[in-house]
Amino acid sequence: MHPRLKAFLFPPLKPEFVLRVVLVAVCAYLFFGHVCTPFFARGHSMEPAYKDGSFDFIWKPRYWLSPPERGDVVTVRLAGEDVVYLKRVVALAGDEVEFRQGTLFLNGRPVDEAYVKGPCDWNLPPREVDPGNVYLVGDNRSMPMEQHDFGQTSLRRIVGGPLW
Amino acid sequence: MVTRNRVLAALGVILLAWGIWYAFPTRERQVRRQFKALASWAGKDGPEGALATAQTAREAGRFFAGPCEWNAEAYNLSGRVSLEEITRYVFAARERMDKLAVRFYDLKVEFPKDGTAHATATVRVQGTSKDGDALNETHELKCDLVKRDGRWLLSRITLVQVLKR
Repeated sequence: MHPRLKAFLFPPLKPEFVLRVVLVAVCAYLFFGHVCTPFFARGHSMEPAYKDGSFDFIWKPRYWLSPPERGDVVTVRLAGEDVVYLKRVVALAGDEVEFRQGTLFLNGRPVDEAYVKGPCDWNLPPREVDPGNVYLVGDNRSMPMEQHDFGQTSLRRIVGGPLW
Repeated sequence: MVTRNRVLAALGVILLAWGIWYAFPTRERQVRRQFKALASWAGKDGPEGALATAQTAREAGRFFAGPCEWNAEAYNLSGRVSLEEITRYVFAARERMDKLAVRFYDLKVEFPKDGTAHATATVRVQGTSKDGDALNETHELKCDLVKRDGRWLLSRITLVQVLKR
């Protein structure tokens, strides 16, 4: 083996090297554990934007300074952050949400949702989003409404958004 | 030889420490083990006979206190359920499913007073029914447990509505 390659792959165990390894490990743990967490999408509720099994990162600082806006895709924690919901914000606090024959109505006006590709026949009577909440729905609405997890949730449950 | 003896002694100490840690679990680990056992009990790898289904359903008493209070608004299920009813529900559910996998995530356990525990977790239930329909449910749970005869039993289960329609 070339001495330079050997020195790169098997460096001498000097205190500086050990310190460097520890620093890299701590930084990687903090970054990938608390700032930019990797995840796999499971299920079909956000298709076609996020397919079942696709890989991404949760970018947690996204909503540290500003709240989510309509159209943003967000991750919502449950009991913790090992398993999160991935949904799209369709309405903000004070908005009136309604579904008529699969079309989303916001404050009485139909919304053109380019990200929804499949057929949808949902009907949901109008309801107002409570203060401090956002209304979340998945992009894939081709299943019966009863089989789709959607609704309003507290802003405090939002842990960030996907990196891409 | 001296070095070898030292290594063996160190291994012995580690093994002994692990044995003590395993044999005398803290109450938090007891609750965690109970959830792990519950997930394993509820799971099903493939079709099983009616006798095996009935046998599994009868073991509900290992995990649930009777009566157990259920609060699941999303499923219009609320009230106190006896062990016999739980056994019947478990039997019916297992009969409908070909495959079933239950996993708990983010389990946190607190002990408000002696002999009682409060646990929160995310439960993920995946499976396939005998008709071929896929089941994929994820919920946040809040559970109360009581300790009876050395075993932690679920006395109250609440499904938290994270997304409220």
